Amino acid sequence: MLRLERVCKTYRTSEVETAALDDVSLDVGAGEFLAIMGPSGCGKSTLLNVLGLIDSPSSGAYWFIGEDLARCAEEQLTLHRRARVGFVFQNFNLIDDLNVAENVEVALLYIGVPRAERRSRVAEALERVGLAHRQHHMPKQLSGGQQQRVAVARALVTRPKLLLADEPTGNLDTANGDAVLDLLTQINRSGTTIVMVTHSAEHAKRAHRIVHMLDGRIVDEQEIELAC
Amino acid sequence: MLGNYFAAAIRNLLRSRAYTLINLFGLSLGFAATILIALYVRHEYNYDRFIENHERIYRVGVYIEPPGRSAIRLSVSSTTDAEALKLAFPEIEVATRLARANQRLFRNADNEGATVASYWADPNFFEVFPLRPLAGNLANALSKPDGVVVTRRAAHQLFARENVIGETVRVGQGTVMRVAAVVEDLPSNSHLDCEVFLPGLARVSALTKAAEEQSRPGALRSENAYTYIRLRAGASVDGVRARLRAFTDSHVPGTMNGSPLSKAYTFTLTPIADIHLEPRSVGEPKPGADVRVLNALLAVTLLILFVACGNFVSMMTARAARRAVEVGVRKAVGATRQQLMIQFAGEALFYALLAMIPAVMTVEFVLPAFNGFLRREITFNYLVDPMLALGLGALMVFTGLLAGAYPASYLSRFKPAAVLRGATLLPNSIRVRQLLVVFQFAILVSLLIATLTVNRQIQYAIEDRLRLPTEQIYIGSAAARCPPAFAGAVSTLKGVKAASCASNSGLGFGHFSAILSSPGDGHTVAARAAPIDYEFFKVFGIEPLAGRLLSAQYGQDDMLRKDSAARENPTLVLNEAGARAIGYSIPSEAVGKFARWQRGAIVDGQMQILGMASSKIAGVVPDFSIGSVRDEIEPTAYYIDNLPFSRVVIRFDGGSFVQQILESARNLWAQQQSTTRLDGQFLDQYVNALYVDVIAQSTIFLVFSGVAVVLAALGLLGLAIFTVERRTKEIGLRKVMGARRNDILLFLGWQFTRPVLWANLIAWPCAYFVMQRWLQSFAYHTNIGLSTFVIAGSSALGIALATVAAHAVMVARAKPVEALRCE
Repeated sequence: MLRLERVCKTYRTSEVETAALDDVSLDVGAGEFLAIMGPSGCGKSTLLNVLGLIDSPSSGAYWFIGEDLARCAEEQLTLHRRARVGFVFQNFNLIDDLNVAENVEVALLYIGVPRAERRSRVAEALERVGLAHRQHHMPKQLSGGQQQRVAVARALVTRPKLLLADEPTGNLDTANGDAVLDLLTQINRSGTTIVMVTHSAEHAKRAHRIVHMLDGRIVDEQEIELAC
Repeated sequence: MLGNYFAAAIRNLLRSRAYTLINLFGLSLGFAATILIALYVRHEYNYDRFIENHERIYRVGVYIEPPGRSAIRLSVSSTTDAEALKLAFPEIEVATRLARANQRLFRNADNEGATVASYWADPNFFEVFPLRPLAGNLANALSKPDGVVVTRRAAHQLFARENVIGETVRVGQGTVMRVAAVVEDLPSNSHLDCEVFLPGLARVSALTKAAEEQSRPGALRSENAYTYIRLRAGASVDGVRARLRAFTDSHVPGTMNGSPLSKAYTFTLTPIADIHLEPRSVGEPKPGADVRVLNALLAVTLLILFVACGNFVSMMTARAARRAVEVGVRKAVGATRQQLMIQFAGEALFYALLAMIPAVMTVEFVLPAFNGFLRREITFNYLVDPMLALGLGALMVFTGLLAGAYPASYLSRFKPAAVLRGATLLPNSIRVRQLLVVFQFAILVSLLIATLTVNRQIQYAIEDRLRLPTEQIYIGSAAARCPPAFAGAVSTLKGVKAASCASNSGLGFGHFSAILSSPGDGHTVAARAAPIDYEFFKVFGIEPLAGRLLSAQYGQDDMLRKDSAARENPTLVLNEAGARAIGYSIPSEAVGKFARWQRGAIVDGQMQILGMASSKIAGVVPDFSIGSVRDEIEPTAYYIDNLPFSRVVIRFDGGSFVQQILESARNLWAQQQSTTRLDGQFLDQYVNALYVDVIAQSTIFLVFSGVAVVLAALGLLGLAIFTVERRTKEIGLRKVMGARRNDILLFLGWQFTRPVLWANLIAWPCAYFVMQRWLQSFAYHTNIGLSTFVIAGSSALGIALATVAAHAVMVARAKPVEALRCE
């Protein structure tokens, strides 16, 4: 489904050049649950951003569902991203001025879903994450775990082929973190490809495969035997 | 989608209430100022457009350029021109006339009189100016020699009610006339100031008398009627103008200094809708507008709006960090940059709409006072005036889009990858805000310099130039001649320093031409002839620069008093300009010399220009005029004459009971002139009226400066709050490293002093250039001193420091650990 071929990503300022990704090649199959691990600054989030089409590689190829999008302009990436990619961030990134339902609805606004259908899909997504009863609450009225579940609902409501989670449990306690992972696992079982960046080895074991990164490179891969 | 955008916009507004209020207040203030000035300018540009077929109606004026004399533009023409034009030009559908009536009107039932603006009008006047009748038949109201038409206002003034058909009025002390119709008041945007229309057909009418005068053989033209023509539909005024020269040659007989008089005459046709904006001409019923001032007001309005928009931009981008996550999320889920720009531009429009509502309410609230100050009747009926409603909408949309463009562009540029992991904002936003503050303060400083300069010029014109106690000098006028005995009697009243009968020309109101001939090479110069009496110079405190003043002790001084028909010329006193004009740059050189000059005199009941004759120059006095400093003081020849003077000048002692003494003077006048009344005004009132436009400009600049102060202060406050928020960590670290409170205050103070210093660098040359050009429109003007710039610059600095002081003190007092913990 996804293929990175010798991808590099370099950030340049007037004084400094930083190689965030260095000759990275990676395949992700449809329906796979991939975990990416590594120390801070190894390029995990950059890799996720490239996979999610919110950043472009400096060189190399990126085949996204059969198309090489490595050289596309931002506008084209946006169009490809729509309804295909969902995001879950470490710091939730809910919009403070919108309530729960409106936050989830945002993802549907830009793909032309009619109003009535938007309502039903939002309700369905909130039901799935167990927060339908909080749909009119504002983000500040929710706990961290609840906010992250809203973020998951927002990511799911477009029925994406790919869900990217950047340390989704990083700001949560153990219980909430486990709850979010349970959710992601369920989502993966229903067919959504998930790529998750995490510091937690326990959570990484929920994936099918773990990729280790160091200094912008993939240094190790590990298949996980799932308990049936 | 709109619902989602709207929800985000509303809640963002409510979340930052203080910012929202500041932002809306600034924008609202800018809107209100813009609307008020736009209403005023629109009012000034729309004079007389309410008259049906105004585009075909023209006023006939005259431009006279006598050889060797200064040209004069008149808004009046001869009473014979209307009929002559209609006969000569088939394009003219109808011609009509007005002539000012100087008589006072009285209710016939008693002696209660009123001074209302009344005019003698031709019977067909309302055919050209179809005013709205409230009662009576307007079509034939003036067809009878005793039918009068009054406005609603005049009806209330004379009779304290509106239904006055059939009521009688006395014109002066004699003729009784009857109210035949009542019309709606003329709006303030009309060049006419008529309240009462008297029948031009009446025997006592100025139109009838002028016609009789003109019909005498050898009678000179006199320009004393307002003549209006209406062209036929489809007729071209250019065709009429092209044949006016031939008409002038055939219609203006006589000679002037050997040349045909017609060569000095040019008839002008002014569309009535342009009269108010044309350059000043003699005889205008009302002061006109100066297009340059209107344009300057519009420019200032745009600057104010720019300042208000600048605040809006500054506030919106300062709060951008709070919207960064939203932008990142929306982009992550598929929003394009254009969609985000539309969202934020829409928010700006919504802000503009919210600001427009209180702005409209403010305008409605202050409009009565605004009208009172400007002496106008500007309306603000946006519900029934589609152009006004459209204008308000356009202002709102234009401002919203203009002000919202940069924030929309800036916010929509955020890279989702950066903002979603909490990266800092793009670096150039602070620079844009600093630039905006610099320009806001540059505008503020410029307005302060303009205000100070205008005030200085007013002070110069009213106080410095005349050097007279203007509140102690009374200038009276009456339709009848001022008897010399009256002035003598008044001067003996206790509390009166001096009294003089004076001619209009002597005072500078009218223009009585003379031609002076240089004794050296004989070249002639145009001059003002100023017939005076012996008390004139004493009343105004004028002392000679050289020689002596005129005196009854000298027979040649008094020549015309003894023999008014004499052809010789009496002794002269020249002003400095007059002495210079005939070759005497040092006043004392002119004393005792002889100057040849021509003067006007009444011969056989008619005004004639006599031939050149010599006069001895007895003295030279300083250039003096109570006229406007816009006009250069002409060479002036003062002499004692027996002509009918219609002005009385009375100078009181300081501290006298002026009103009581004035009443005594009026009683003396009534004893000597039972048919007329002595009315007038004090010199300070007259001078203030001369400069009412400049005073109004000064006040407007003052108000706008106040608005600019508020807006600039708001902008700086916003920048201050943002800057401090951004540098919270830095301030905390400075404190940890030992900075004291005063060190922090100095540090923050310098941050906000720099934009003001830059603003001064921009404002000073720009303001100097503009105000210097304005001052040069006056023949006599003050100078823009360095102190003006220093006062304006230091005031702006003071405003800036006062604005940020409270916030800076609060920050300087905060504990460093709070700042570091916050980070």
